[in-house]
Amino acid sequence: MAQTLITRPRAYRPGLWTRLRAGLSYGGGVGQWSWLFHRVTGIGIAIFLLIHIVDTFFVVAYPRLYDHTVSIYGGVFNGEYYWPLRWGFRVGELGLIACVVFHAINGVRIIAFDFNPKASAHAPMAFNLVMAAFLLIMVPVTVWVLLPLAEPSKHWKMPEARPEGPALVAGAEPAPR
Amino acid sequence: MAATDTQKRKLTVKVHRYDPERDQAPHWETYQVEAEGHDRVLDVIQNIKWYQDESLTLRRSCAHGVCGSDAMRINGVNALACKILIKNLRSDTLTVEPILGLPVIKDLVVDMKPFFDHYKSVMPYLVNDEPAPTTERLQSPEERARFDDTTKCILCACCTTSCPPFWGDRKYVGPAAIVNAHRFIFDSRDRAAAERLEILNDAEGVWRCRTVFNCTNACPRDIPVTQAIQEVKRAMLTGDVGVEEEEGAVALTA
Repeated sequence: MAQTLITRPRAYRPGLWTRLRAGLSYGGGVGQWSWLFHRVTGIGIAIFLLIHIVDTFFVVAYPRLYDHTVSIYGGVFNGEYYWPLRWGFRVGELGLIACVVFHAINGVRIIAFDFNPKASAHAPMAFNLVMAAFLLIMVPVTVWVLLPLAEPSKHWKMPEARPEGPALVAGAEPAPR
Repeated sequence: MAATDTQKRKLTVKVHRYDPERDQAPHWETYQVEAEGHDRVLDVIQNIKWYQDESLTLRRSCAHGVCGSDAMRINGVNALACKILIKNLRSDTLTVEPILGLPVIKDLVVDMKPFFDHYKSVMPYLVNDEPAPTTERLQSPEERARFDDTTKCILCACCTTSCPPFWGDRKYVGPAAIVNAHRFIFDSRDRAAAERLEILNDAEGVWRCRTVFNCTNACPRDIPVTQAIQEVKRAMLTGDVGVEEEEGAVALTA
Protein backbone atom coordinates (compact mmCIF):
# COMPACT_ATOMS: atom_id res chain seq x y z
CA MET A 1 0.00 0.00 0.00
CA ALA A 2 1.39 3.30 -0.99
CA GLN A 3 2.19 5.54 1.86
CA THR A 4 0.05 8.64 1.82
CA LEU A 5 1.84 11.76 2.82
CA ILE A 6 -0.41 14.69 3.43
CA THR A 7 1.63 17.83 3.18
CA ARG A 8 -0.25 20.99 3.79
CA PRO A 9 0.88 23.57 1.25
CA ARG A 10 1.94 26.79 2.82
CA ALA A 11 0.93 30.15 1.43
CA TYR A 12 3.84 32.53 1.08
CA ARG A 13 3.68 35.81 2.93
CA PRO A 14 6.72 38.01 2.32
CA GLY A 15 8.55 39.39 5.34
CA LEU A 16 8.82 43.05 6.22
CA TRP A 17 12.04 43.59 4.25
CA THR A 18 10.68 41.92 1.10
CA ARG A 19 7.44 43.88 1.36
CA LEU A 20 9.40 47.10 1.81
CA ARG A 21 11.47 46.42 -1.31
CA ALA A 22 8.44 45.31 -3.32
CA GLY A 23 6.51 48.36 -2.14
CA LEU A 24 9.28 50.76 -3.12
CA SER A 25 9.52 49.16 -6.55
CA TYR A 26 5.76 49.48 -7.11
CA GLY A 27 5.13 51.93 -9.92
CA GLY A 28 2.78 54.15 -7.99
CA GLY A 29 3.81 57.44 -9.58
CA VAL A 30 3.88 60.87 -7.95
CA GLY A 31 1.19 60.05 -5.39
CA GLN A 32 3.31 57.30 -3.88
CA TRP A 33 6.46 59.45 -3.91
CA SER A 34 4.73 62.38 -2.23
CA TRP A 35 3.40 59.99 0.42
CA LEU A 36 6.90 58.54 0.95
CA PHE A 37 8.54 62.00 1.14
CA HIS A 38 5.84 63.13 3.56
CA ARG A 39 6.60 60.19 5.87
CA VAL A 40 10.39 60.56 5.64
CA THR A 41 10.29 64.32 6.25
CA GLY A 42 7.94 63.71 9.18
CA ILE A 43 10.50 61.36 10.75
CA GLY A 44 13.23 63.93 10.06
CA ILE A 45 11.28 66.66 11.86
CA ALA A 46 10.53 64.33 14.79
CA ILE A 47 14.24 63.55 15.21
CA PHE A 48 15.08 67.28 15.15
CA LEU A 49 12.39 68.02 17.75
CA LEU A 50 13.85 65.35 20.03
CA ILE A 51 17.34 66.87 19.77
CA HIS A 52 15.95 70.39 20.16
CA ILE A 53 13.98 69.54 23.30
CA VAL A 54 17.06 67.91 24.86
CA ASP A 55 19.44 70.82 24.12
CA THR A 56 16.92 73.45 25.24
CA PHE A 57 16.48 71.49 28.45
CA PHE A 58 20.22 72.01 29.05
CA VAL A 59 19.69 75.83 29.22
CA VAL A 60 18.01 75.48 32.58
CA ALA A 61 19.53 72.30 33.90
CA TYR A 62 23.17 72.42 32.75
CA PRO A 63 24.02 75.87 31.27
CA ARG A 64 27.66 74.89 30.63
CA LEU A 65 26.56 71.80 28.75
CA TYR A 66 24.22 73.99 26.71
CA ASP A 67 27.09 76.28 25.69
CA HIS A 68 29.15 73.24 24.84
CA THR A 69 26.32 71.79 22.73
CA VAL A 70 25.74 75.05 20.86
CA SER A 71 29.46 75.36 20.13
CA ILE A 72 29.37 71.83 18.67
CA TYR A 73 26.70 73.04 16.27
CA GLY A 74 29.16 75.76 15.24
CA GLY A 75 31.92 73.19 14.65
CA VAL A 76 33.84 73.55 17.93
CA PHE A 77 34.30 70.42 19.96
CA ASN A 78 36.37 70.55 23.19
CA GLY A 79 37.87 73.90 22.16
CA GLU A 80 39.07 72.57 18.81
CA TYR A 81 37.50 73.68 15.55
CA TYR A 82 36.56 70.93 13.09
CA TRP A 83 35.26 72.15 9.75
CA PRO A 84 33.42 68.90 8.82
CA LEU A 85 31.41 69.29 12.02
CA ARG A 86 30.39 72.82 11.10
CA TRP A 87 29.59 71.86 7.50
CA GLY A 88 27.70 68.79 8.66
CA PHE A 89 25.45 70.78 10.97
CA ARG A 90 24.89 73.51 8.36
CA VAL A 91 23.85 70.99 5.72
CA GLY A 92 21.75 69.22 8.35
CA GLU A 93 20.05 72.53 9.09
CA LEU A 94 19.30 72.92 5.39
CA GLY A 95 17.87 69.39 5.39
CA LEU A 96 15.68 70.30 8.34
CA ILE A 97 14.33 73.37 6.55
CA ALA A 98 13.68 71.24 3.46
CA CYS A 99 11.80 68.70 5.60
CA VAL A 100 9.65 71.37 7.25
CA VAL A 101 8.92 73.20 3.99
CA PHE A 102 7.96 70.03 2.07
CA HIS A 103 5.94 68.60 4.96
CA ALA A 104 4.05 71.86 5.38
CA ILE A 105 3.20 72.45 1.71
CA ASN A 106 2.34 68.81 1.04
CA GLY A 107 0.27 68.79 4.21
CA VAL A 108 -1.79 71.65 2.83
CA ARG A 109 -2.28 69.63 -0.37
CA ILE A 110 -3.56 66.64 1.62
CA ILE A 111 -5.87 68.85 3.71
CA ALA A 112 -7.24 70.34 0.48
CA PHE A 113 -8.33 66.84 -0.62
CA ASP A 114 -9.95 66.30 2.78
CA PHE A 115 -11.98 69.48 2.43
CA ASN A 116 -12.83 69.02 -1.21
CA PRO A 117 -12.95 65.35 -2.33
CA LYS A 118 -13.59 66.44 -5.92
CA ALA A 119 -10.13 68.06 -5.99
CA SER A 120 -8.75 64.50 -6.01
CA ALA A 121 -9.13 64.53 -9.78
CA HIS A 122 -6.31 67.10 -9.93
CA ALA A 123 -3.90 65.16 -7.70
CA PRO A 124 -0.96 65.02 -10.14
CA MET A 125 -1.21 68.75 -10.87
CA ALA A 126 -1.42 69.48 -7.14
CA PHE A 127 1.81 67.54 -6.62
CA ASN A 128 3.51 69.56 -9.36
CA LEU A 129 2.37 72.76 -7.63
CA VAL A 130 3.77 71.49 -4.32
CA MET A 131 7.15 70.75 -5.95
CA ALA A 132 7.17 74.14 -7.70
CA ALA A 133 6.45 75.97 -4.42
CA PHE A 134 9.04 73.81 -2.65
CA LEU A 135 11.76 74.68 -5.18
CA LEU A 136 10.76 78.35 -5.21
CA ILE A 137 11.33 78.53 -1.46
CA MET A 138 14.32 76.21 -1.25
CA VAL A 139 16.56 77.81 -3.90
CA PRO A 140 17.05 81.16 -2.07
CA VAL A 141 17.00 79.44 1.32
CA THR A 142 19.80 77.10 0.23
CA VAL A 143 21.97 80.08 -0.77
CA TRP A 144 21.11 81.87 2.47
CA VAL A 145 21.95 78.86 4.66
CA LEU A 146 25.10 77.70 2.88
CA LEU A 147 26.66 81.10 2.07
CA PRO A 148 28.10 81.64 5.59
CA LEU A 149 30.18 78.49 5.06
CA ALA A 150 32.26 80.47 2.57
CA GLU A 151 33.51 82.65 5.43
CA PRO A 152 35.72 81.40 8.26
CA SER A 153 33.90 80.34 11.38
CA LYS A 154 33.26 82.95 14.04
CA HIS A 155 33.21 80.24 16.61
CA TRP A 156 36.61 78.68 16.46
CA LYS A 157 38.26 81.17 18.82
CA MET A 158 35.36 81.03 21.21
CA PRO A 159 36.29 80.14 24.78
CA GLU A 160 35.30 76.57 25.49
CA ALA A 161 33.46 77.28 28.71
CA ARG A 162 32.29 80.24 30.66
CA PRO A 163 33.22 80.63 34.36
CA GLU A 164 31.62 78.40 36.93
CA GLY A 165 28.23 79.36 38.23
CA PRO A 166 24.78 80.04 36.93
CA ALA A 167 25.80 81.53 33.65
CA LEU A 168 22.61 82.20 31.79
CA VAL A 169 20.92 84.36 34.40
CA ALA A 170 20.27 88.08 34.03
CA GLY A 171 23.44 90.16 33.89
CA ALA A 172 25.56 87.48 32.30
CA GLU A 173 27.10 88.15 28.90
CA PRO A 174 24.98 87.08 25.96
CA ALA A 175 25.46 83.53 24.86
CA PRO A 176 27.88 83.24 21.96
CA ARG A 177 26.21 82.63 18.67
CA MET B 1 8.47 52.34 -30.65
CA ALA B 2 5.15 52.61 -32.39
CA ALA B 3 3.91 49.04 -32.61
CA THR B 4 0.99 48.28 -34.85
CA ASP B 5 -1.69 45.73 -34.07
CA THR B 6 -0.28 42.94 -36.18
CA GLN B 7 3.42 43.59 -35.63
CA LYS B 8 5.04 40.65 -33.88
CA ARG B 9 7.12 41.32 -30.78
CA LYS B 10 9.58 38.93 -29.18
CA LEU B 11 8.93 39.30 -25.49
CA THR B 12 11.09 38.24 -22.59
CA VAL B 13 8.59 37.39 -19.89
CA LYS B 14 9.78 37.22 -16.28
CA VAL B 15 7.26 35.46 -14.08
CA HIS B 16 7.36 35.34 -10.29
CA ARG B 17 6.96 31.63 -9.49
CA TYR B 18 6.15 29.96 -6.19
CA ASP B 19 5.33 26.31 -5.66
CA PRO B 20 4.20 25.80 -2.06
CA GLU B 21 5.17 22.12 -2.16
CA ARG B 22 8.75 22.71 -3.27
CA ASP B 23 9.83 26.32 -2.75
CA GLN B 24 10.71 28.10 0.45
CA ALA B 25 10.43 31.47 -1.28
CA PRO B 26 9.37 32.65 -4.73
CA HIS B 27 11.84 32.91 -7.60
CA TRP B 28 11.86 34.36 -11.10
CA GLU B 29 11.57 32.30 -14.26
CA THR B 30 12.09 33.69 -17.71
CA TYR B 31 10.27 32.67 -20.90
CA GLN B 32 10.45 33.83 -24.50
CA VAL B 33 7.12 34.49 -26.17
CA GLU B 34 6.26 35.91 -29.56
CA ALA B 35 3.12 38.02 -29.46
CA GLU B 36 1.23 40.38 -31.69
CA GLY B 37 0.38 43.95 -30.83
CA HIS B 38 -3.29 43.27 -30.27
CA ASP B 39 -2.60 40.32 -27.97
CA ARG B 40 -3.12 40.89 -24.27
CA VAL B 41 -0.76 40.10 -21.41
CA LEU B 42 -3.19 37.31 -20.49
CA ASP B 43 -2.64 35.72 -23.94
CA VAL B 44 1.10 35.80 -23.34
CA ILE B 45 0.78 34.11 -19.94
CA GLN B 46 -1.60 31.52 -21.36
CA ASN B 47 0.83 30.90 -24.20
CA ILE B 48 3.46 30.05 -21.58
CA LYS B 49 1.02 27.80 -19.73
CA TRP B 50 -0.24 25.99 -22.82
CA TYR B 51 2.98 25.57 -24.78
CA GLN B 52 5.95 25.96 -22.43
CA ASP B 53 5.21 25.24 -18.78
CA GLU B 54 1.84 23.84 -17.82
CA SER B 55 2.61 24.14 -14.10
CA LEU B 56 2.26 27.93 -14.29
CA THR B 57 -0.79 28.79 -12.20
CA LEU B 58 -3.05 31.80 -12.52
CA ARG B 59 -6.68 32.78 -12.05
CA ARG B 60 -8.74 33.88 -14.98
CA SER B 61 -12.36 33.53 -15.87
CA CYS B 62 -14.04 35.82 -18.36
CA ALA B 63 -10.81 37.22 -19.82
CA HIS B 64 -12.64 40.39 -20.84
CA GLY B 65 -12.16 42.74 -17.90
CA VAL B 66 -15.47 41.97 -16.24
CA CYS B 67 -14.89 39.23 -13.67
CA GLY B 68 -11.75 40.71 -12.09
CA SER B 69 -9.98 37.36 -11.61
CA ASP B 70 -6.66 38.07 -13.29
CA ALA B 71 -5.43 41.03 -11.27
CA MET B 72 -1.63 40.93 -11.09
CA ARG B 73 1.38 43.20 -10.96
CA ILE B 74 2.39 43.80 -14.57
CA ASN B 75 5.67 45.67 -15.02
CA GLY B 76 5.41 46.78 -11.39
CA VAL B 77 1.85 48.11 -11.51
CA ASN B 78 -1.42 46.40 -10.60
CA ALA B 79 -3.66 45.72 -13.58
CA LEU B 80 -5.91 43.10 -15.13
CA ALA B 81 -3.85 40.91 -17.46
CA CYS B 82 -6.80 40.81 -19.86
CA LYS B 83 -6.89 44.59 -20.26
CA ILE B 84 -3.24 45.33 -21.10
CA LEU B 85 -2.39 45.14 -24.78
CA ILE B 86 1.08 44.12 -25.90
CA LYS B 87 1.32 47.10 -28.28
CA ASN B 88 1.08 49.41 -25.25
CA LEU B 89 4.10 47.90 -23.48
CA ARG B 90 7.08 50.24 -23.44
CA SER B 91 9.77 47.57 -23.51
CA ASP B 92 10.06 44.01 -24.75
CA THR B 93 10.65 42.76 -21.23
CA LEU B 94 7.50 41.93 -19.34
CA THR B 95 7.48 41.19 -15.61
CA VAL B 96 4.49 39.50 -14.05
CA GLU B 97 4.07 39.13 -10.28
CA PRO B 98 1.19 38.33 -7.93
CA ILE B 99 -0.53 41.31 -6.30
CA LEU B 100 1.14 42.55 -3.15
CA GLY B 101 -0.12 42.33 0.42
CA LEU B 102 -2.05 39.05 0.21
CA PRO B 103 -0.51 35.59 0.87
CA VAL B 104 0.65 33.85 -2.31
CA ILE B 105 -0.92 30.40 -2.70
CA LYS B 106 0.85 29.46 -5.93
CA ASP B 107 2.59 31.47 -8.66
CA LEU B 108 0.16 34.30 -9.52
CA VAL B 109 -2.68 33.09 -7.30
CA VAL B 110 -3.15 34.85 -3.97
CA ASP B 111 -5.40 34.08 -1.04
CA MET B 112 -8.31 36.50 -1.46
CA LYS B 113 -9.97 35.58 1.83
CA PRO B 114 -8.60 38.56 3.83
CA PHE B 115 -9.76 40.85 1.01
CA PHE B 116 -13.31 39.46 0.97
CA ASP B 117 -13.46 39.44 4.77
CA HIS B 118 -12.84 43.19 4.70
CA TYR B 119 -15.42 43.55 1.94
CA LYS B 120 -18.05 41.70 3.98
CA SER B 121 -17.30 43.75 7.08
CA VAL B 122 -18.82 46.93 5.59
CA MET B 123 -22.30 45.41 4.94
CA PRO B 124 -22.13 45.64 1.14
CA TYR B 125 -25.83 45.06 0.56
CA LEU B 126 -29.01 47.12 0.61
CA VAL B 127 -30.53 47.53 4.05
CA ASN B 128 -34.07 48.83 4.15
CA ASP B 129 -36.65 47.43 6.57
CA GLU B 130 -39.40 49.76 5.47
CA PRO B 131 -42.39 48.04 3.85
CA ALA B 132 -41.56 47.45 0.19
CA PRO B 133 -43.72 49.47 -2.20
CA THR B 134 -45.79 47.65 -4.78
CA THR B 135 -43.51 49.01 -7.51
CA GLU B 136 -39.76 49.67 -7.39
CA ARG B 137 -38.11 51.79 -4.70
CA LEU B 138 -37.95 54.95 -6.77
CA GLN B 139 -34.88 57.13 -7.06
CA SER B 140 -34.21 60.30 -9.01
CA PRO B 141 -31.46 60.35 -11.66
CA GLU B 142 -29.48 62.72 -9.41
CA GLU B 143 -29.75 60.33 -6.48
CA ARG B 144 -28.61 57.47 -8.69
CA ALA B 145 -25.72 59.51 -10.08
CA ARG B 146 -24.46 60.21 -6.56
CA PHE B 147 -22.91 56.73 -6.27
CA ASP B 148 -22.65 55.78 -9.95
CA ASP B 149 -18.85 55.49 -9.97
CA THR B 150 -18.68 53.08 -7.08
CA THR B 151 -21.24 50.67 -8.61
CA LYS B 152 -18.58 49.76 -11.18
CA CYS B 153 -16.34 47.85 -8.78
CA ILE B 154 -15.59 44.25 -9.84
CA LEU B 155 -13.67 43.32 -6.66
CA CYS B 156 -10.44 42.50 -8.49
CA ALA B 157 -8.35 43.79 -5.54
CA CYS B 158 -6.12 45.95 -7.78
CA CYS B 159 -6.78 48.99 -5.55
CA THR B 160 -6.44 47.35 -2.14
CA THR B 161 -3.20 45.59 -3.06
CA SER B 162 -1.69 48.78 -4.50
CA CYS B 163 -2.25 50.62 -1.23
CA PRO B 164 0.91 51.19 0.90
CA PRO B 165 -1.07 51.40 4.18
CA PHE B 166 -2.59 47.99 3.32
CA TRP B 167 0.85 46.48 2.61
CA GLY B 168 1.91 47.48 6.09
CA ASP B 169 -1.32 46.74 7.93
CA ARG B 170 -3.42 43.69 7.05
CA LYS B 171 -6.25 44.87 9.31
CA TYR B 172 -6.93 47.99 7.23
CA VAL B 173 -10.24 47.44 5.40
CA GLY B 174 -8.67 48.77 2.20
CA PRO B 175 -9.95 50.91 -0.67
CA ALA B 176 -12.18 48.24 -2.26
CA ALA B 177 -14.22 47.74 0.92
CA ILE B 178 -14.63 51.52 1.33
CA VAL B 179 -15.69 51.89 -2.32
CA ASN B 180 -18.38 49.24 -1.79
CA ALA B 181 -19.49 50.92 1.44
CA HIS B 182 -19.68 54.22 -0.49
CA ARG B 183 -21.95 52.54 -3.04
CA PHE B 184 -24.60 51.95 -0.31
CA ILE B 185 -23.88 54.85 2.05
CA PHE B 186 -24.87 57.35 -0.65
CA ASP B 187 -27.78 55.26 -2.00
CA SER B 188 -31.02 57.10 -1.17
CA ARG B 189 -32.86 53.75 -0.85
CA ASP B 190 -30.52 52.45 1.84
CA ARG B 191 -31.12 53.02 5.55
CA ALA B 192 -27.86 51.74 7.11
CA ALA B 193 -25.48 54.58 6.21
CA ALA B 194 -24.96 55.45 9.87
CA GLU B 195 -24.06 51.85 10.70
CA ARG B 196 -21.55 51.64 7.88
CA LEU B 197 -20.01 54.99 8.81
CA GLU B 198 -19.70 53.68 12.37
CA ILE B 199 -17.86 50.58 11.10
CA LEU B 200 -15.51 52.69 8.99
CA ASN B 201 -14.96 55.35 11.68
CA ASP B 202 -12.03 53.38 13.04
CA ALA B 203 -8.26 53.51 13.02
CA GLU B 204 -8.42 50.52 10.63
CA GLY B 205 -11.27 52.10 8.68
CA VAL B 206 -11.16 55.14 6.39
CA TRP B 207 -8.72 56.99 8.64
CA ARG B 208 -5.92 54.58 7.66
CA CYS B 209 -6.11 56.09 4.14
CA ARG B 210 -3.14 58.37 3.47
CA THR B 211 -4.34 59.72 0.10
CA VAL B 212 -1.53 57.99 -1.79
CA PHE B 213 -3.69 57.73 -4.97
CA ASN B 214 -2.19 54.34 -5.95
CA CYS B 215 -5.72 52.89 -5.82
CA THR B 216 -7.13 55.46 -8.24
CA ASN B 217 -4.30 54.81 -10.68
CA ALA B 218 -4.61 51.02 -10.41
CA CYS B 219 -8.38 50.72 -10.81
CA PRO B 220 -9.13 48.95 -14.14
CA ARG B 221 -12.69 50.35 -14.01
CA ASP B 222 -11.52 53.97 -13.69
CA ILE B 223 -13.31 54.48 -10.39
CA PRO B 224 -11.99 57.61 -8.61
CA VAL B 225 -11.26 55.48 -5.54
CA THR B 226 -9.47 58.09 -3.46
CA GLN B 227 -12.26 60.58 -4.08
CA ALA B 228 -14.82 58.01 -2.88
CA ILE B 229 -12.79 57.43 0.30
CA GLN B 230 -12.55 61.19 0.87
CA GLU B 231 -16.32 61.51 0.44
CA VAL B 232 -16.88 58.83 3.06
CA LYS B 233 -14.49 60.67 5.43
CA ARG B 234 -16.39 63.85 4.82
CA ALA B 235 -19.78 62.21 5.36
CA MET B 236 -18.44 60.94 8.67
CA LEU B 237 -17.67 64.49 9.81
CA THR B 238 -20.69 66.28 8.36
CA GLY B 239 -23.24 63.44 8.64
CA ASP B 240 -24.49 64.44 5.22
CA VAL B 241 -25.03 61.60 2.76
CA GLY B 242 -27.49 63.37 0.48
CA VAL B 243 -27.17 64.52 -3.08
CA GLU B 244 -24.85 67.48 -3.47
CA GLU B 245 -26.85 70.32 -4.93
CA GLU B 246 -24.77 71.94 -7.57
CA GLU B 247 -25.26 75.43 -8.78
CA GLY B 248 -28.08 75.62 -11.29
CA ALA B 249 -29.41 72.18 -10.49
CA VAL B 250 -32.99 71.91 -9.41
CA ALA B 251 -33.73 69.55 -6.54
CA LEU B 252 -36.48 67.13 -7.46
CA THR B 253 -39.26 66.53 -5.04
CA ALA B 254 -41.26 63.35 -4.90
